[in-house]
Amino acid sequence: MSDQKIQETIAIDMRGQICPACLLVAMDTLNKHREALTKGLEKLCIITDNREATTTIPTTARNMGYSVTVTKIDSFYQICVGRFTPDK
Amino acid sequence: MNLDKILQSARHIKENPSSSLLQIRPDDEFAPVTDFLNELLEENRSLRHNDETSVGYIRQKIDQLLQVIGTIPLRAEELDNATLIHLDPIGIIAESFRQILDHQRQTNDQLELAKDEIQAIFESIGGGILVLDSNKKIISYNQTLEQMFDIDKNQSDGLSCSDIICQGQRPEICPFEEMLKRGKTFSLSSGCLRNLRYYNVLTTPIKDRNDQIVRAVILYIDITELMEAKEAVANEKERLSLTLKSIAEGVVATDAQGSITLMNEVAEELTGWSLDDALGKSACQILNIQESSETDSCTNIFNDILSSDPTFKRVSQTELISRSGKKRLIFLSAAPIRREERSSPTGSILVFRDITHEKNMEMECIRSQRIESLGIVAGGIAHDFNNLLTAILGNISLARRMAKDNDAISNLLAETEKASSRAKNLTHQLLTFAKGGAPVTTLTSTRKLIEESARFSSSGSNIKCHFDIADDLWQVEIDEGQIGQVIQNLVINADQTMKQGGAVDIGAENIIIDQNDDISLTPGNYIKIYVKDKGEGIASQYLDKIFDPYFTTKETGHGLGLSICYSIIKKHSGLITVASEQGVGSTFSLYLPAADQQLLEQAQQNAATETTAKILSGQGKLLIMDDEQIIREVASQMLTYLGYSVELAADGEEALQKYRQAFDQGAPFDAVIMDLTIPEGMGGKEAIEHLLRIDPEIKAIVSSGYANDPIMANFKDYGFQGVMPKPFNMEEASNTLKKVLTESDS
Repeated sequence: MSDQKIQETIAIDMRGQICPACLLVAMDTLNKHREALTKGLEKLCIITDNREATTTIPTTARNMGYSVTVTKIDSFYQICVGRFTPDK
Repeated sequence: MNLDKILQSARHIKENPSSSLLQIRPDDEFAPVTDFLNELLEENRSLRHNDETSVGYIRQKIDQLLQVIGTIPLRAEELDNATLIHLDPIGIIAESFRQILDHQRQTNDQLELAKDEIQAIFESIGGGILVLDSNKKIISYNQTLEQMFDIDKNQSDGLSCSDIICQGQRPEICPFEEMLKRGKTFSLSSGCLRNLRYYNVLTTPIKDRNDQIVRAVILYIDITELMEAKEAVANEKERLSLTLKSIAEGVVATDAQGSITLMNEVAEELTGWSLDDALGKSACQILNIQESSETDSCTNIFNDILSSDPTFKRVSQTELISRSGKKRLIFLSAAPIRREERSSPTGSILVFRDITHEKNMEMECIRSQRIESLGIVAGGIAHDFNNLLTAILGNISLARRMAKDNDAISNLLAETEKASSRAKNLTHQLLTFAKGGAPVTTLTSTRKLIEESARFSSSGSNIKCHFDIADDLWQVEIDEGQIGQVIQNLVINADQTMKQGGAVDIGAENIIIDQNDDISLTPGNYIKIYVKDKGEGIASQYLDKIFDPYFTTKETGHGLGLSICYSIIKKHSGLITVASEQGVGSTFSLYLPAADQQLLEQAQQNAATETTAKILSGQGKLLIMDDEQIIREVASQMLTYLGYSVELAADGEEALQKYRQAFDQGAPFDAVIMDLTIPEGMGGKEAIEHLLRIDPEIKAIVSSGYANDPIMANFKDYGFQGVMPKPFNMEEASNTLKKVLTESDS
């Protein structure tokens, strides 16, 4: 991630939970932090071990107009959502 | 049944919805309570059913929404009803949809804007745009394309590009098909037969999600003007190249850093660098010029013309040293290349001309003029001196014959005659050097002449002549006496400079001079004779002066030898040059024009008769015309002594009168000897014209101290039969008279 404007990270650990609960929690957070996220003041980073969530959350977030990165870290995934230029 | 039991059963039934309601006898005192409890239990069961139906509905709707979003349904065990209601998934999803819709709206707005932009580009772009489907069918085109190919908008529906662009003429290369083949953008520059214009055609595919080409955008840029400009530039380049090739000047172009970008053939020849080798190299490396001053240095020239305020440079004369070390004199000019007035130079042009030949000619001309003016003075003196010598020599000749019985007087007179002869030779040399002194030329093979002249001069000296004369040496038309004198002079010089003796190389060869030779001669066939000594050599500061009369570095010399050589060779339309190095030796080279074949044949027909040097007595009536009394007197005495009867005239008028009188009386003169020039009177040239009218058979001899007068060399052209240069002795006079009288009689 290269956007210097993102200062605050909303971190959610959802390991052990599966979809669609994960998606609902992600969407709920995106709804609640919409303003800060769209202004690029915050970004949401979710840690999950549910593989399906790595598809559903990015798809929904992108439909909402956010940029998404998915990073595999050890035995889980980190999905970050916000207004930034995703790493290639 | 008591009340506690009834209540216990009722609680059990409530928790077990499938069990039967409370049972009691109608007459039991608690029958009303039991009925009421049953009513409550049934209502409870109904409420529970409704609740389950509602939550099921909610779950169903949540699953439906989740499916729209693209995920799997909620599992019941994942969230119980209470948590589900608390979490409010529908609310969450609804709010998310709001975000999705807002984003879609924004995207739509952007797409609308982009569409407008594309449409604006589509119409305003300088090229024609044609959009086709995968079957070449026209989807759309812009106005520029419509004008470009004169398309009728109302009749283009359903047509393909072949219909409106190619119009049935299948092109050699179809850009659309090439793009299909390659699967990527295809660019082509091509002429269109339809409207005779040139286009740059760029065909770009549009692919769907499956990477299949569904459309193509073809952009036509009219490059006719560009092509015409390119052609004009190419023509201009060709013209420039031809000009550069044709001109006699060397031309070099550089970039702003002074590196070579162009050279013409003359520049290649003069510098000795080929363009391929010189490209990119510093011009100063290629143009190796001798720097006479700092301002003329190559670096300085470039600093000036490539500066921000460049100036035109001209170096009138400098020495260019070619790659092989050959030196040439050049005239150089350099100018900056600027796109606009006052802009910084983008390069430079250097033009230079080989002026070696020009400069040599100029030097030769100056030398020639200098010697010529000295010659006029020398000629005048020699003429007067010759008249005096004629009288002296004539009288001595007579006196010797009168005193032949007196040995003492005879000896004295013989010595006096010898000294006078030397004086005669000196005037002869002066006259030979002087202007004109037209050589009496005959066609000659020079081999014998060179060898004899050289041997004559070297006999008795310490030098030995080595000859290297070409067997097929061309014949030359020369005055043998004069050329022999030149060779003798050169060999004498060689002898004098080689004090220890040694070998002198003398050679002759045929040489063809063309326009490119740095030698001051008209192009043609020449023979080159050289005399090479190994003497002291000549100091470079004297080289320019050695042909000047009275210039000498020798203690005993009178400084006429080389002047005479120069003069003789010039009169033969030739050239004499010298190359010398102090301490090594000098080489003198003579160039004499080869005779043409016609002259050669003519000469063979007119084999000359030789005269002997004996006194030949004769008889006949002679008329002598000379303005100088002493000449008249001595000539009269000499010819009388020889047996002739002599009459005298002081000028042309008197000679005419006497000749006419004798002719009319039937006792004409057998011969007339006339002085060529009579101050303020009629000379021999005019008199002969009148005399020929009186007597076309007249035998006239021209005599003059001016050996330089062309009449003396070509006397026959003027009507004379013989020539008698002054001074003459008795032998010469008798031989000439004998020859004229004999030839005329035969």
